[in-house]
Amino acid sequence: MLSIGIKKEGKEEGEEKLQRGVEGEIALQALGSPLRRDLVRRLRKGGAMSLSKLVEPHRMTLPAAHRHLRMLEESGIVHTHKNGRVRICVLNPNAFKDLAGWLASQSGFWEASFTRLERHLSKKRITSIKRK
Amino acid sequence: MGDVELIITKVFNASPEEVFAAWTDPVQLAQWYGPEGFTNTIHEFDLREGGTYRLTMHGPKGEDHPLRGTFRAIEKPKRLVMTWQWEGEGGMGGGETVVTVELRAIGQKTEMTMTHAGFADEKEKTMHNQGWSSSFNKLEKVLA
Repeated sequence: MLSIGIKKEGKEEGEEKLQRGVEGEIALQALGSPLRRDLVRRLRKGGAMSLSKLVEPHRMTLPAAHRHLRMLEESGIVHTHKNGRVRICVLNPNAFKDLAGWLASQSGFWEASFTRLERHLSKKRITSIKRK
Repeated sequence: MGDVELIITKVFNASPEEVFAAWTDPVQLAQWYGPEGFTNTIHEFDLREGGTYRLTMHGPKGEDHPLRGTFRAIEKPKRLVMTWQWEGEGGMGGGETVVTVELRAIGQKTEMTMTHAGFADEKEKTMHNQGWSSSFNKLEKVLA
């Protein structure tokens, strides 16, 4: 299990963190499929390879392969280039930093929210004591 | 183990009922959701299992961040489970995350544990556990 430590965020950072959170979430969505995770695993073990070799064990149509590849590409996890008629796929070693970014931004988001929640609850408490 | 999840524990000087209400009363939620300087517009808040919520967080620079999800478990005042998804990235689908809030009374205070899990689907989570550990161990190092 991956749990990460909590860092206090400054107020100016809030917006940027939230934006990064959205980007990191694309990586999570791309990895939200067992098949695509297997493709990533194959690239990690086997290095750069053609798209047809990459999807070989999965016996899928070329359009389906392209669809999965597109999601991995959009999230930055896999980079591709054309070599003649062959599409070569390479794992981007920095990809998981985005995911780390998602976690960091999400933790910043919650931590900042909970500071406000704390204030909100103590305000409520003062109000209810006054009522008594 | 390879789950990507974020766990935050915090103690509040309030009862579990009060903390639960702060999460489940949209009027209260709008007052604290999001970082400093953010405001919220709640469009929909159907508090029942299977009910959906939709809101927009407004950043201090005028940026909008729409968010939506579904309530999965509402066990007042102990536990709240809901899905969580930023909207607006063009319906990529399947990328829901799950937020679980657990509350426990400690004397006059409440210990809240919030778990934000990156993968929503239980089946995928199991699949994910088989063989993803090494990547996420790397991630752990990146984060350390």
